[in-house]
Amino acid sequence: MQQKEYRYVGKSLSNDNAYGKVTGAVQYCGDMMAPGMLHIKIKAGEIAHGRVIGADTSGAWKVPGVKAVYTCFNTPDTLYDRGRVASYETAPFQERLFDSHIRYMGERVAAVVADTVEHAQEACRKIKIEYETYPAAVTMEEALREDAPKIHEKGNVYEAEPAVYGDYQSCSAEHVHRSRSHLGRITHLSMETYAVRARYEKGSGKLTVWTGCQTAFGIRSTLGDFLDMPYSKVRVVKTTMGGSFGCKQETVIEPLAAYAAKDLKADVMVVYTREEQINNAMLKHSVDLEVESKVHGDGTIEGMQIKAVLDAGAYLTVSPSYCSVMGGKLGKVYRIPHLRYEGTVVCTNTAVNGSFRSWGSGEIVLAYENHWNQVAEELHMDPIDFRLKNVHQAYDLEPMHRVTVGNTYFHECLIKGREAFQWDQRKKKCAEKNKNGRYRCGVGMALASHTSSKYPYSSDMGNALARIQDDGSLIVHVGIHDHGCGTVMAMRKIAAEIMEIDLEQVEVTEIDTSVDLYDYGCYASRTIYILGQAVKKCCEDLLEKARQMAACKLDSRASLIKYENGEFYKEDEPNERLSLKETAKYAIRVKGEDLYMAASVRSKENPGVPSAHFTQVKVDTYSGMVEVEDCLSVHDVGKALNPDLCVGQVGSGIQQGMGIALCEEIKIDPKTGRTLITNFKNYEVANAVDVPDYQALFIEEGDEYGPFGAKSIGEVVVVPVPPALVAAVNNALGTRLTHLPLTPSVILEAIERQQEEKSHDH
Amino acid sequence: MNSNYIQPRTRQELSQALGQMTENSRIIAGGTDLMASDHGRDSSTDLYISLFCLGDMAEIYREDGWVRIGAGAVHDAIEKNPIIQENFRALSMACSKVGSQQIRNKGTIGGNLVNASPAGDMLPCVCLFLGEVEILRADDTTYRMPARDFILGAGKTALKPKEALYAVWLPIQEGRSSTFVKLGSRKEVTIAQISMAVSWEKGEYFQKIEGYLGAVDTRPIYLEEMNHILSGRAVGREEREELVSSLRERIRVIRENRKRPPKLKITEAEQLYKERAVRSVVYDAIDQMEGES
Repeated sequence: MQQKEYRYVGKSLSNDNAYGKVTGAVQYCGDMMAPGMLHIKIKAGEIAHGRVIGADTSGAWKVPGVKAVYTCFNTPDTLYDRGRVASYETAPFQERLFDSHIRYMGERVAAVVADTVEHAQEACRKIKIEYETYPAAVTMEEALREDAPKIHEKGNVYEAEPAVYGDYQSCSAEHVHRSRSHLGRITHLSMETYAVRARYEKGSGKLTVWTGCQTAFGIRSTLGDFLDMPYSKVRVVKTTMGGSFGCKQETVIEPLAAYAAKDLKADVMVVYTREEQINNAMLKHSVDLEVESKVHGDGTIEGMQIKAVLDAGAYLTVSPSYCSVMGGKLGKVYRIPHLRYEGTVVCTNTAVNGSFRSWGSGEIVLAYENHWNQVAEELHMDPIDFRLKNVHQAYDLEPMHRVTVGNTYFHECLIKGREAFQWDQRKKKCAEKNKNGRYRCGVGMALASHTSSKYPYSSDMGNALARIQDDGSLIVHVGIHDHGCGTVMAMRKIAAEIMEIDLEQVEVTEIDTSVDLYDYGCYASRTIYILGQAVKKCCEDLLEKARQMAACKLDSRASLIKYENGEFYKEDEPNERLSLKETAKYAIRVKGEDLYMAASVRSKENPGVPSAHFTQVKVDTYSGMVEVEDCLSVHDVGKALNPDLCVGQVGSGIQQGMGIALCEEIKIDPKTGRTLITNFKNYEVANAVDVPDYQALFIEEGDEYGPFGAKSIGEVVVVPVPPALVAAVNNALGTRLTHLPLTPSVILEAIERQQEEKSHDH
Repeated sequence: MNSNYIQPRTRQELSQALGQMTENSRIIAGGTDLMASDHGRDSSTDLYISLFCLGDMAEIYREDGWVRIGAGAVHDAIEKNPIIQENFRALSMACSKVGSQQIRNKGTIGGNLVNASPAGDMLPCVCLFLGEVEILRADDTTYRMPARDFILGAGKTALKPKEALYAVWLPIQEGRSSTFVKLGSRKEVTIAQISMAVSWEKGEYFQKIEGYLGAVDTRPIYLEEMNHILSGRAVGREEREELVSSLRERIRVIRENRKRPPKLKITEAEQLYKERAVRSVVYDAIDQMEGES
């Protein structure tokens, strides 16, 4: 595509919140203070499964400053669902503010509202809960047994509707291969923990909730329904977010905060500790994945089927949907004539699992990329050659949703990556080096894709409202939830580019349900693709409206009015200029009009975002430690609106992917169900020092509809990293490890087994 | 509960403050462990005594053939101190591997010893260098005892009520080199799974080798076999493997004598990890020794 020279689009500019963040000036929700504000602390339960039969709160009431003590005995029995993100969505609806049926160790059993955090905390400690204990099912195996304790009335198991394309059973290709992969539970690592402020105004009966969320309108609907208030009386304001990675997609603590605010007619704040964030928000599912494929001798894939079993934890919440969506993602990368997916969700007496960055792409891609790397090895094919034979071409049919994959460049990702990473040379060198010695080298790669919208899972639209101020500056209202990664900056750039004005003249506000037009929420990597289109169209329409106003002022026809650098002029009188400021003043003073425009766009496509990751590792066979020596990610982003921030996203994906593949795991006590790791001291993550100087390459061929050709990047960056690392470790060691994370102990265990087998063979 | 806070500016003021301590009082130096452990808890602490303003406690100097390290000296300062680098290289190396740079800027050697975490990086070093600890009493007198006797077990020391660890003394031993190896769960910002501090007499071959293994038992373990296996000869694969086997056996015995495995070591692979990975520590230590000689 011919690359146009833009003012802002494609230029590297920092996240507009960066200065405020590094100087500490940015206000997060937990930083908010107000006179008379009250604080909530929750009390964690002491059993994995059972019933609350009594609560002695007398000790708590003796603590000064206590305003309310809530338990299952004095709060509503109303059910809600944290995972529901719109009023019209169906969901399992299994949660209560406080349930007498306790389903996991550490589940909240009570809460105290007091004048200070310390008083609330002290009072929580003084509440005495009496339990009746039931047998617990801590592992999926236990929960799947016929005589397993019932965690929910309808049982512990949910089977997703199989996702099918073609007829896998009819496949007759000669090579049948089976593999298994496993992902452990992990936490989201958002630096900001959950924080919610809720204020109920006695006079007006209005409730305002501040939260660093991903779905302000979704939260509003849950709170309105839960508290039986009209949505018009509930206002949800998104505050600056210190990272989400999916955990802030759900309505976790807002119902309690809102209930307390309304009950006490007060202004209340709740801030989770890290321990609560890990145990009482949600974790990423632990998943077992089984893949079977049938492949022809030349490497062409005929069919693939995947069976996935997800551990939902104590409540289903988003898990049925998450599990189904995984199946929907089977056909995004390869041309496979026959596909079948079966998903099962199992509730266990453990902490709740839920939304996580990439919503199923990470799991499903790990399963099939681990699988294809094994198949390529069995067929003695290079993994890149194997993929080149099978990947989608631009505008191929994406079989599970019957839409096209859009203007995508899978081949180019593979070919450019192969060359830039010097794949063939590295592979050869590693094989030569690995003859003996303590350290082994390995290379690995994987390919992935993800969404740019939620179409056609459901319709997807974006709305924006733009207003030219009487000094010529611009305010854009768009239902955006910046996760901290610079989407507000992207919207400012889009608006400034269209309006041809200085970036500083453009203000983009984040979502406030009392001001903004409807938005579904910033998930499914839809922000840039959908909301970016809305902002672009809105600004284009606004410019036309301003042009008509300028035509009046310049006594001409709009079609004869040109626009350049924020000024209108008549084609034949280029020296007589009318600025946006003059146009706005003329509109208000003379014509009695405000220069504003609202626009809506609807998604027509959901272009894929091909993403290939190449990596080289060094494995210490004495300690089991894996060092990532070098890596490269190639992303078909359509257009990088802000290349620096895209490179940053790639780095975040590599770091998180390294954690998933090599070290991150929230361990659960197999006997008691207790979450054993609830702090960052014991939670192993890949640190900045562990991440190599990665390379990022972008393919920018432009999408048909995306703003300036842009597609998504925020989630896909992490998806191919774990399977590429798994492949590299296996390449180094000659193993087939697929049970993640590949910690040093797992690696030494595998080496020990390998040596035992060798000595057995001799 | 409300706590009192005293910040003495002289040793005398500190002694007086020690006199006010009850069993619920705590001394705070860098605070890198204490702040984390007290955060959000129902603290019964009635008094905090801060060592922030005691300049003397942070000083490192030579005196009568000993090097004296104030208990309040931070890891970063010890790591970079030329006297330490010259005479106690293993200690400097150990300090450079404690936590993150931020932790090294605040955390102190005294705190590391008093907390007596089995994974504490200072413990094997002060034992290796035959260090002594100097303890201040409420009457403003001090006494010294071998560091080896000071550490009693996990989280346990010989410090008595109303006493504070004031300084660490290390005797200078001419003609010796030392090194330190730490195996954590990752490259940096990590807690030791196994650590090893070794010293030896310089010469054609390693002689008079002293070694301690840290983080595998509640206290550092003295490795008498090191000298036997490695000294006075060219060290090859055979010697290395002999030492590996010996240490592996030691760790196995410790594991088997435990009542139950550590709570985060759930799988067998996790429980056997140290036994397997000790090979990397032995090889790294000997590689470093050879590099140094």
